[in-house]
Amino acid sequence: MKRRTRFQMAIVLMLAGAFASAAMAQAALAQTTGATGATGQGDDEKVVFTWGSAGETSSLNPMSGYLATDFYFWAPQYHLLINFAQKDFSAEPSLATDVEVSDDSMTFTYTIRDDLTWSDGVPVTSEDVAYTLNLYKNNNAYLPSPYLSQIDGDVVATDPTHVTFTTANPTSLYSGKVPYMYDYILPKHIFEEVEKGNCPDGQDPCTPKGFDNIPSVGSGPFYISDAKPGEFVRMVKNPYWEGPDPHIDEIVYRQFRNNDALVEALKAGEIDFAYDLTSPNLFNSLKNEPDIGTVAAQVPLFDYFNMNTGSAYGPETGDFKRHGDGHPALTDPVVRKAIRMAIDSQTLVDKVWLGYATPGTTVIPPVSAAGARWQPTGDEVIAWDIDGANQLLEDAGYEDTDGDGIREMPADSIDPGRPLEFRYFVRSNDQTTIDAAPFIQGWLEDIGIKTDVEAVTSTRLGDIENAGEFDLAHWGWFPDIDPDTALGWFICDARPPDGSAYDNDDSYYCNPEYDELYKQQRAELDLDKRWDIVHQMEQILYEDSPYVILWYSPLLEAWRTDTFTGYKPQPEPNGDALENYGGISDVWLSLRPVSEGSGAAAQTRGIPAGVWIAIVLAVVAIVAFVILRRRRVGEEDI
Amino acid sequence: MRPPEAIGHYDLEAPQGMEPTPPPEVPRSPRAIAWTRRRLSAKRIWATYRKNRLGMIGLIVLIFFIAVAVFAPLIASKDGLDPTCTCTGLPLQPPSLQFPFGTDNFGRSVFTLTVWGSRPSLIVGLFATLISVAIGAVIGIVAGYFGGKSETVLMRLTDWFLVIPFLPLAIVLASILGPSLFVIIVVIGVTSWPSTARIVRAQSLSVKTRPYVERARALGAGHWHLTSRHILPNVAPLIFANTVLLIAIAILSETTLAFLGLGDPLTTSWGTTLQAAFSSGAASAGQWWWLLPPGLAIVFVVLAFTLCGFALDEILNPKLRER
Amino acid sequence: MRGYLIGKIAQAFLTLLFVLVFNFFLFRVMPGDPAAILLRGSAAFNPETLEAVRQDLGLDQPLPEQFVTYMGDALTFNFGDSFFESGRPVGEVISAAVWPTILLVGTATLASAAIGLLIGIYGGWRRGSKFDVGSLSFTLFVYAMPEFWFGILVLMAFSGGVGPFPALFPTGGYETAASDLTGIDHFADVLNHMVLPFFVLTVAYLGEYALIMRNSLIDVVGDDFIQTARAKGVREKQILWRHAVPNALLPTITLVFLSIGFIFSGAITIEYVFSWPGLGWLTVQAIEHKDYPLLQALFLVFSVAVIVANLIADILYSYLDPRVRAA
Repeated sequence: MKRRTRFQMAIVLMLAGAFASAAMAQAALAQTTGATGATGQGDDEKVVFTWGSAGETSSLNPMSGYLATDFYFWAPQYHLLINFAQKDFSAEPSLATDVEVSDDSMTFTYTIRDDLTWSDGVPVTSEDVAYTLNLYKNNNAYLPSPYLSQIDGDVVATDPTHVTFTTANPTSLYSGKVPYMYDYILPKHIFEEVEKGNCPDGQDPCTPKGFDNIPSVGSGPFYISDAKPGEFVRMVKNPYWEGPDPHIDEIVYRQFRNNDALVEALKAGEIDFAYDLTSPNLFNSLKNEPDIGTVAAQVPLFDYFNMNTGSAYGPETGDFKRHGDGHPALTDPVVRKAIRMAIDSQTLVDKVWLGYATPGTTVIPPVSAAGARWQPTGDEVIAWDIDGANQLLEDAGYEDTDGDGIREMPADSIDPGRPLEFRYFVRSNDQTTIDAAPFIQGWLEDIGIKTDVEAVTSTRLGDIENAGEFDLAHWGWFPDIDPDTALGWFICDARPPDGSAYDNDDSYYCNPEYDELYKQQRAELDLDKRWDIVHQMEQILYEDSPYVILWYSPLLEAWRTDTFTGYKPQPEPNGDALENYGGISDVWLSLRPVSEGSGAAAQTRGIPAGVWIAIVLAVVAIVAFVILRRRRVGEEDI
Repeated sequence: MRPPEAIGHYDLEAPQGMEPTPPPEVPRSPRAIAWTRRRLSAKRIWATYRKNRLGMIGLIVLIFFIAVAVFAPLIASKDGLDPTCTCTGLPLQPPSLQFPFGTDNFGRSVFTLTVWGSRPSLIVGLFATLISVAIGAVIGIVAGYFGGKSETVLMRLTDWFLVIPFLPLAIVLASILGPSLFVIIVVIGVTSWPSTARIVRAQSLSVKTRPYVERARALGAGHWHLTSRHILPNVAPLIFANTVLLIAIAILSETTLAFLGLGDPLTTSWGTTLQAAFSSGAASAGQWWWLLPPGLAIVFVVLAFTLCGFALDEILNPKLRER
Repeated sequence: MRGYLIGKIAQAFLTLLFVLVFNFFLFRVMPGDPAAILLRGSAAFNPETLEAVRQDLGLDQPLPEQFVTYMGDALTFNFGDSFFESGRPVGEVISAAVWPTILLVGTATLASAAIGLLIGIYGGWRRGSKFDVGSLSFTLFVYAMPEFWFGILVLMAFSGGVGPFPALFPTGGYETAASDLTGIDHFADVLNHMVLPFFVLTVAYLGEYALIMRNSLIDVVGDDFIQTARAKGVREKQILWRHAVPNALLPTITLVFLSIGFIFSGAITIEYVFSWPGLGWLTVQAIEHKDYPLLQALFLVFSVAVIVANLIADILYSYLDPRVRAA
């Protein structure tokens, strides 16, 4: 009995050992020749550019996508009519070469170029333009349709190279002087079929919004070949692209779940570009890494300190009914100005963003349509000045009568004697709002204002703002390049009406003079005159301070300097280096490997396949051995 | 006629190896009888507990951390928690003489963060468990004592709560109710009572059938008297051991919820410190000093509670001692 | 015995029904309009578009109607389309995530149970010995530590390569994205990605099993029949493996099965730290996006796992415990 046991054990061990050594030999051999098969791509010469971020995609179909990341897969493949120039965001003809405006500024005719072909060989014509715009408009496509809201009726293709449409009111927004219509032009022959229920990939059910658009058909240098939602998106070259030949064969996007993994992947060479690192700490740590380049890119993004200027006190125009319980002191522009004077944007930038953001002033960020931005100069500047703020409040009658360090409302105000105590909301899912709170709270204390800071989720804050049940809140916006959208957040009609519905004017600002100027700038065809009006509006907002712009957020990017070159910041010199805002951008044509062979597909990391086989076999052998042993022992009985 | 001491006699037999009890003086009233017995019982339990080496280690560590929490202001100034304090150093520095645990992204001393972080963590652990045990005990006693329909319904409810996955449920509730300390306490309390309920019900069932309970009922004792005077005291030791273990779990739950971003970001607890460190990229940036102290603190506190709980369980659980 | 089993299965179905109803109301109670959450901050944030989104998501129906639709759909395994991943059926989203979770959690459970039980057996058998003291300290430490904290440290060490540790393994995910590996190479790639989270989960859970087994064994070792066997002169190894362990195993195995049900949701934080695309991570995402259909289905999946695990535990217990079998 015992001899048989030992014999069996020996056999098992020898087999395991044999397998193990064979596998290790294979692994060793594979490593010396470098052909572990881990590159994955059959063709070693394919140049693949890999970039990653923690950004999610919602849908790769422009009809239903609504997240920022979705844009990054539309830009390399679809054209806009008028593009955003890479240098300075000015208007650049793209699919449309010319715009003719009627004398009454209500009829627009676009000339469409005739030298583009879709990636499946069908030529691009004006029919695609008309069809797409009508499709967006009639189906309420989430992101594209707001830019078409002023169009009356359908867009018509009058001949293969022209489209025409009319608007309900005179407007300058479609004149082509400033890029405004952010609508990617889709292939009619594909989406027409989708409307009938025939999706090219056999998707069932098939609707224009539900269609996943994988693979896609694009008019640009690349199109989407395959994708796994939440994992990766791959774009390959358009065989019918007539423009300059790209130097890369494939663009691969990898979605990461957190910033650490993203940074590790960059450091390990798994990806070539890390996009939107949300942590300044991580970004900072990359600055000293060899072969890594970084930029704190300027983008149209700002964080603001929102003040409830009068949800309970504002003029009841349109649908608006007074609601909520904002503190009456905030209806006074003097108080708001004092608060603006108490906040030091530079300190916040230094502490919260480790210096990488830009101090805030006006609602129109530095990255915006050329000429739209206004900057206070000289006497117009309201600088950080605690003493000045205190003086302002004293002079206006907000005195601390009971000596507790908190000022009270003047005797002749709406609510005499009420202490200046405000509810201050930060968002639990945005660390920068939490980080900024102690600083702002401290400064407000210095001018005699007490705040109760509370952290809520973004969704909850949205409800609170719509109900008007707040005083101060910290949030952010991503405005369009054309200032029309951002300026539209302050008109009386944009106020949440009665606590049950949403709207954009979360500070409840309502100023008839401002509203009048808004209508004017919309209709003003002369660009310089329009910018004058826009500057006036910005100045009004700066002085009335419904918002205090805390900072303009950076987009933190890092890339490997030893793999690819040819990044094109938009705008120059330090805008977003990779994901240009708009349609077909130069970056995808200019990216090229630094040197021969440096653009190979990412290597996999870890233990080679051969060693894994050995390990698995060894484990199996051990388990088998143990079980056999048990049986043997069991049979021996007394 | 039996002597009055026999009424309400406990089942807590002395396990082997305990010191013999001195004969009690004859007490005057039933209540005095009960309290004298409890006091002697407690003394016996403590004497046995002292012999349990692991239990003692746990207790010492526990006392240490509770002391740290209570005397926090004496150990590290509270100002150190304020990012605007002039006492902060350079951001993200490794440990040094001035800052023994290094600094965080605001330059605050990680040592201060860890010391003050003990308070919310322990408070949440304690109060969440109290809620959980209160709910569980009430449900368990009612189910075990009244039996019949109410038992079936309550036990169904318990089983059903056990089936719903704890962490997703806690996450959902916390995201509905918002990120505050109070909410975390309620969420943990309301989702972790089933284990107590089960234990209490089982024990209530067995106590309910004991002769002295039947006798009391025959003498006309009402439900309230029976449950509070007889069942509860018999169940209490078991609950106590379970409670200590539950505190450990509650602290771990708070840490997990905070790590996932559901804790109150405006308070400094060990969980929120870990969350701030991780989301700021400390792992990739190699800032181990920010991650290690809060984590180790959690480990030691949870360990302490667990050791105490195990030791108490050994002593107080009648099943374990019947050998 | 048959009656016992049927009773247990019936109970399981009832619990399942409760869970379905509970799920529906739980998520409808969540405040916040999913449409607004989706679009907030984008240029599409206007009343018309919000209404369009709400219609697309079926939220404009009155609540009772939504409930009826929900129950009907649930019984035919149709869980609707995900809110967030526009148009993708929930079933598809979940099935894409099921395999990674089963792979990771399944193997980690097996490994931690096997190793944990063995440690518990040897520790309990040689109570007070160096091995016992050492392993007890280790298992207690591991039982007390937050598993995600351990995960972060491991990630730092073996993926980032801090200090003396080699940066050996990938930073996360299930496989190297967008690669076309097949066969052995794909198998090895997945294993490489799995090593770190598997290691962390195994270490994190083995403490529990070791402690349970150790206590169970100590209980059994004090029993009379063990003394009898010793008196009869049976060898120590025999006593351990043929007498003590089988008896100690019974309560332990049922406890193991009970805890399996919870490991699915327990892996949430590990999946987060290692970017492992499983059910846990999906749950966190779904909650952030208020993706009701997905959340309802996920809760159902977790609950079913626990119900099934409990049922198996009950069946196993009744089979293994001769007292119940005879009844």
